[in-house]
This record gives sequence, C-alpha cells and structure tokens, in this order.
Amino acid sequence: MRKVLIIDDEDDIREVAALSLETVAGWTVVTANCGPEGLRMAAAEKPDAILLDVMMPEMDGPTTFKNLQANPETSHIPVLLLTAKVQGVDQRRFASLGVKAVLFKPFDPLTLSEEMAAVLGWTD
Amino acid sequence: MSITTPAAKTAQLLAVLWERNRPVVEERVAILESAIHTLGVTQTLAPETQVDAANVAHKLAGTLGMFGYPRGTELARMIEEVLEMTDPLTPTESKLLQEWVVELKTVLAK
Repeated sequence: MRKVLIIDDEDDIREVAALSLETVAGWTVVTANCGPEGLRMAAAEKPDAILLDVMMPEMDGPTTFKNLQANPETSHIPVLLLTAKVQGVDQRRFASLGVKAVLFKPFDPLTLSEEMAAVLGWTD
Repeated sequence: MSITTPAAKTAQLLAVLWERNRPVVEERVAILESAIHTLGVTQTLAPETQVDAANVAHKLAGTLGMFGYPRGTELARMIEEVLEMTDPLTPTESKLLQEWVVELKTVLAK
C-alpha cells in the first residue's frame, strides 16, 4: 500500500488532503504540520511520496525540500509541491527546484490522488 | 442509508470538515473585513496589517475551492493580489477590496 507524507501548516489542508488520499485512493497518510517535523517524519516513515506546502512559517517548502534532498535517507523520495501561488513566475521558480511536480491549491479532493498518481507514475 | 462509493464518502466527510473548519474561515474573513474597513476609513493600511491581510487572503484562496466555494477562492485571490502590491492603495482599489469582501461573505453564507 502506498504511503504519503503531507507537510502543511494549515489544519484544514492536511485534513482534506488526508481524507482524499485515504478515502478515494486507499493510501496510507501520515502528516506533519511544519518543515522540521516533516523532515523527521520523512526519515522515520519512509513514505513513497511527499506532498509539501510552499508557504510555511519557520521553514518553508523549498527549504524543507533542500533538506530532504541533503539527507541520503530521504533524497530519493519524490516531492510534490503544493501552492496557492498561481502566477507564472512563482510556478517557474518552484519547478526549477527539482521537485517532481507543482500542484495547486485549492485542489479537488475527489481527484487529488489521480493527479498525484499520474505525476508519480503509480498505475496500481 | 449506507454510503458505499469513495466519492460519496469523501463528499460526506468533506461536509463534516467544512463545518469543523468554518470558524477558522470566518475568523479569517473577519480579519480581512477589519483591515479593509480600516482602509476605507483612513485610506491607508499599516504595512504589517496589509501583510497580515494578504496572508489571510492567501490562505482563503487556497482552501475555499476545496470546500466547494470556487468563487470564494477567486475573490480571495483578487484580494491577495491587490494587498500584495507595494504601491499605496488607490481609492479605486480600496473600493474594489470592500466590494470583494462583501461578496466573499455573501458567497460563504450560501
């Protein structure tokens, strides 16, 4: 069974994304409410993918991603950035980080898992 | 009646989550309303108030559509874009912000 780590400081986003991935796709979901906790969870839980918010206090998404990449235990885990920034300049900046994909808020809870699976090449 | 499909179950749970998160959304709208009321009265906003209001609008833009309020996301996004401008807000922008916040409240009241 697939396991996804959601890192987002907003309770409602974490709750709806977890609901979506668990109920629609049947994946296992673990969550973290900040970058540092996300780094710990990623190393401990070894998820198959990480859904990572961009704008978070303390440690933002891009910094969290760089830290994930710097750790051999987590550097192989595909990361999908989640952002409410829709301007092209922001999209290009995020895409250039080396993440697997950039997904946008608000997402559709009924299709989020399909979108993720397509990007990740998960066909099962 | 039991709910069998994942989509139906998700929709039902989403409604529960909306009710649970509604107070947070209302609090955020109230922050916007207060900032924009201040703007209407004084024709200016303290920089920190403007940044806080822009952040709140950003959060609303990212969540409302997820709960079935796509127009709410559009309005919050327009509010965020205006509040992120570094130039002083014009009377026209101030008026637009007031109109958008009123519409946002109306949309969420439905």
